[in-house]
Amino acid sequence: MSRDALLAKIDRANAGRGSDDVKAAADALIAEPDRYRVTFQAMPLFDRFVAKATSETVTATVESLDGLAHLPAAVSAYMAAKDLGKRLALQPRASLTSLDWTGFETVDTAHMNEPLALTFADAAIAETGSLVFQTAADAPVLLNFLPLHHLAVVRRSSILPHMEDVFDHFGTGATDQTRSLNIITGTSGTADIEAKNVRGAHGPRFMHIYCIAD
Amino acid sequence: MDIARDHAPRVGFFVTCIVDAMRPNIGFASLKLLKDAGCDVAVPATQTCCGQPAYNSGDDSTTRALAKQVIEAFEEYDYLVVPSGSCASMIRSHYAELFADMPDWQARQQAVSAKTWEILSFLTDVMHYTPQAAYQGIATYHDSCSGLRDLGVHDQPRALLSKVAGLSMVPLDGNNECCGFGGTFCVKYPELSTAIVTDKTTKIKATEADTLLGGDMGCLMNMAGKLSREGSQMRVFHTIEVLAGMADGPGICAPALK
Amino acid sequence: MKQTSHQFAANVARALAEPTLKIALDRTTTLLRTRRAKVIDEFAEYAQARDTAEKIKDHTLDNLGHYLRQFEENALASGARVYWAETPADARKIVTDICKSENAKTATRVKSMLGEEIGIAEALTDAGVERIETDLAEHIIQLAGDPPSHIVMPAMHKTQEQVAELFAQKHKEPSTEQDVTSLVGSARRELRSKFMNADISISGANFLIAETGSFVTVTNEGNAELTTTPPNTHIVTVGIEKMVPSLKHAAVFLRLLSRAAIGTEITQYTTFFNGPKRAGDRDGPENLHIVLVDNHRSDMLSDFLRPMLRCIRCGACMNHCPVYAAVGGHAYGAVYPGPMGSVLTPAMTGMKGTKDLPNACTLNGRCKEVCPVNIPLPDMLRSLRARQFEQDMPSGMSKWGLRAWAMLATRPALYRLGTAASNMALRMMARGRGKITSVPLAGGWTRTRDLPQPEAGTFMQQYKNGRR
Repeated sequence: MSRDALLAKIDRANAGRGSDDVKAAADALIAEPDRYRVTFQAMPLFDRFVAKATSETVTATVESLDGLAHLPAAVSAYMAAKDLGKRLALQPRASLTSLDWTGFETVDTAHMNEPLALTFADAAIAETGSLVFQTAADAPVLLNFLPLHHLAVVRRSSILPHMEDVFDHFGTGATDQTRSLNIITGTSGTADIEAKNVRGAHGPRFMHIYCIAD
Repeated sequence: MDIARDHAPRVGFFVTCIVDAMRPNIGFASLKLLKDAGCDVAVPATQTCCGQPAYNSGDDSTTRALAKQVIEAFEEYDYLVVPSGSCASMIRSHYAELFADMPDWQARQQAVSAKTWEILSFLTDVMHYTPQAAYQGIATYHDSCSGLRDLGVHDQPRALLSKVAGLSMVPLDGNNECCGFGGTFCVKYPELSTAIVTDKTTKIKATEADTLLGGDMGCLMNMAGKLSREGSQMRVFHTIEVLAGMADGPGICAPALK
Repeated sequence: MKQTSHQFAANVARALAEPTLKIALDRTTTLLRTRRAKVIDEFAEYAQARDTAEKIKDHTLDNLGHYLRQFEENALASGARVYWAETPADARKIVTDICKSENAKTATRVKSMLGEEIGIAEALTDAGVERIETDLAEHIIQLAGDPPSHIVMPAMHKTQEQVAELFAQKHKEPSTEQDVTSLVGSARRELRSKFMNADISISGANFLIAETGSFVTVTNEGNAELTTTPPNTHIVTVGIEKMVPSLKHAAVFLRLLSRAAIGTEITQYTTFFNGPKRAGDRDGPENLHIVLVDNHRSDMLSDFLRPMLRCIRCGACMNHCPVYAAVGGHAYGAVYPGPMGSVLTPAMTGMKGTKDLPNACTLNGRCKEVCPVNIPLPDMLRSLRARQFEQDMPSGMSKWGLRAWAMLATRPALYRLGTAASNMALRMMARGRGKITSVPLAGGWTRTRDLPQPEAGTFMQQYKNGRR
């Protein structure tokens, strides 16, 4: 059956059911999102984000920095503490590459056993402790997935309350979308063996988030 | 829902096919409590079955015939009261679709469905009656599926049992999990039914209660039958028997005391 | 996989005879139920979320033609190619043709139940493509040669010990330790290079977004992104009922799916894919092919099975089903097990050969209670039984027993005689012991359970004789 025949069959099955103004009917269903999602007015966004990101179902660690200039020193300390050498896969974003990486051996793509990568999150979600990454010319996807240690940078001002706010922020229309949008909530894991939770499946096993005050 | 009345509530008692055949004591315990609660109780002579076995087998036409029989027998009463969550659920929630295309019958069906009550919830929620009874023992409670999920019967039996002198309750792990009876299911799939009831009796025995209580004879028969086969000394009763002070004889599947 | 639902009784017997299966099922379903209960308890807005999700699905299904057209338009505009497959064979042909035209030799795959449904393994074999499963559970069952036994945790039938043994035999560098962390590490090592070197990637989708032409994957391991990014070509096969109107509508489901399925607020990786690689992108597939699959979903729109199309494939129903807990997923003999499978399998593959599935259910209602989109599963299973009855499908002894009983039950006077007679007969068999251990024609019960000895006389007899 061709596309047209299938659509005709579906339309026949739905005769008398559809809405006159489909978009209005759809929008009405999500007009009051606070009725169906967790709200946390009493808690500042940042506190909520950190509480969720460091919770035992997300398992990221979080560090606050006063500005991007402090990043290389902080990363250096992390790598020394974990005995990770000098090689750093660095997202080719100007705000990161323009920092002082003296003493590091930086590369801009990750190989499959890359020890760690540093990438800039485009936003964060307080509700779930998630980071949001859009693809771009200076933001390949694989840097967020290949390394064992994922170091992520996020500006405190880009922490939004809910997933819907992220969509509003970047645009909800077809032409607003980048090739992909990754909402990453902590470290890779699996419960496929006897439902026992384990970290470090195929994606990063460790996530360390630098929150930049601004 | 209390019908405004200037007379004692007139209750048509529906004994259920399984209580009629296997354990009339539950029926007589029900009559006693309904009278003690202030009801004027009758037992319509033409009752046989609510139709659930036929309904669950997909035989809608037999189900409809039995439903009509129930409607005709009970529509003159203020309430239809039944000592079973699954039969009450059948009449309250499942009769409607059988008469969707029959407007004359539909009105009569809706009236009967609306005034059908499972007995434990009837005693608490409608009659606001708490029996005075005594029973020495530690009991655990199994919540039968239809009563629990369709009718919300959960707090009522526990409230009633909390007033029984000498009785203490211990919770059952998995109290809301199916016992594997399922009516026609245990007949068609006995091995599956056995596997499920075995899990259930394992959990029952782990409570270390000496008594098992519940609100549906089908479930109770199933669990008592397995416990008995396993050599357990647990006593199994329908809650209404304890509440009526009529749990001094043999439990379900137990040998006669004399 | 080869469907064996027509051999349900044999499947059940085999499952019940396997003690390790019961161990695996008890360990996993208990954990999943506990986790779900905790996270739902903490979600104060759960009832509203569930209600909203149900309404969004019903609205989308009511306007499915509109949304499919909108999705296609937007997906095409993003540079993807969109195909329409009515049957599994149609879908397989599309996949095979793409693989052949790419000269593909290897394909990495992200778990997809729809892929199982259409027989994707066969499509790849036909194209001469080596299939590499990347999801840990799919990797396990690929090594074991088993079909999936659960829609979220396909290797649920395997104990940890069994997985350890499997990896020790089949991995290139198996771990010496047998704890779960080491086993996962072994799988990570085994699959690492396959991600980067595959010719083609294949996935399903958890949701389709009409307004943007996107598809969404909801995963935990990282394999979805690692699989679908490196190769030149990515093929997505997805059921048409996965549609939601917009990104914000998807958010409603994303809050429910992970909670219902595994008891977490959100999975680690929620990815929205919007077309193939764009100018300037550093990675991503040059070619994106989206295959929209019908396989009787359009038929389900027209009858009482319609609510089944709301399903978001969380697996909560089977985690709470006493039949699933007793025998596991393979016993159902079909792609989809448990309560949802017992509805979908007859709907997708026909009433014959699936007769047992709607019947092997106690109608206890727990599945409906935990369904995040409120699908009336027991009602649909019963309606399938009514359809079987109309189609006069034989069901042996029990059907004739039911007929005989129905004849009596509709004739109260005869019924009294019948019950009085059986009352006497059963009492004789009990011989005063309070119980009956063997009843002719009721071996199914008395093989494993006692039957209570009835009282002297039925209730109606005693009542008529004056007992009050």
